[in-house]
Amino acid sequence: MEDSQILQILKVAEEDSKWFSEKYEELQGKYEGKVLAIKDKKVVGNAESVEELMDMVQKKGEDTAYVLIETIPPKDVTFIL
Amino acid sequence: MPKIPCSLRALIGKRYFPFVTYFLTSFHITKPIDAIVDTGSPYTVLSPNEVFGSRLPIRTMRRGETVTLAGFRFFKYPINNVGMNFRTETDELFKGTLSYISALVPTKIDKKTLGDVRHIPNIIGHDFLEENKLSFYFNPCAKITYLEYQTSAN
Repeated sequence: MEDSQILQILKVAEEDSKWFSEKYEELQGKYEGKVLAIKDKKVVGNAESVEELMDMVQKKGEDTAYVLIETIPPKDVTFIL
Repeated sequence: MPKIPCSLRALIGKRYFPFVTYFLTSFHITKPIDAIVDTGSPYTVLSPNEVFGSRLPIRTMRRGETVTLAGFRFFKYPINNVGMNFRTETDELFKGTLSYISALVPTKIDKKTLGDVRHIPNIIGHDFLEENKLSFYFNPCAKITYLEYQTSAN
């Protein structure tokens, strides 16, 4: 893959990541406990498991290799890594 | 020194965590990844979600060394010779490499465990910073965070 293509993919993914961070609280209210697929500043799929999510994204015609996978843990769950 | 911008995400109790997006290239997975930068982690890992979402052959990956993370135990399956590409603040590509990235596969694959581990993030650890001579700056009060790398000029 050309460097310019990677840069373009990264720009889109970074914008999606930033959008997810900015909207986190709002999305938490709607998708708490779910796994999400983000593409072009939109939630293109949400599910209980990532396998289910990937099936959903594929059915919508999205390339699963170019979506960001994010999760919204339940409010009462804290991870210490 | 040139910088790779990171972003801040308020996850738990409004505390900010440093995230960075990179493009992973490997024989098994090629895709953009959103990861938390964790200098306390000795390893750079792919979350169970990335592993299951990429439909890797989980059965053959359930062997070898194990690690404990967030109270869960995982097989640490090595995906060798990966490329990790980042966009710099000057819109160039920083091409990092890692001798292997660890794909996290839970030692227990039951419904409860899979439900619990799906919120574990991708992690950029100490190994990547060291192998690529990167520094990490994190100031949560001022909301500033970035990775910094050396070039032959500096």
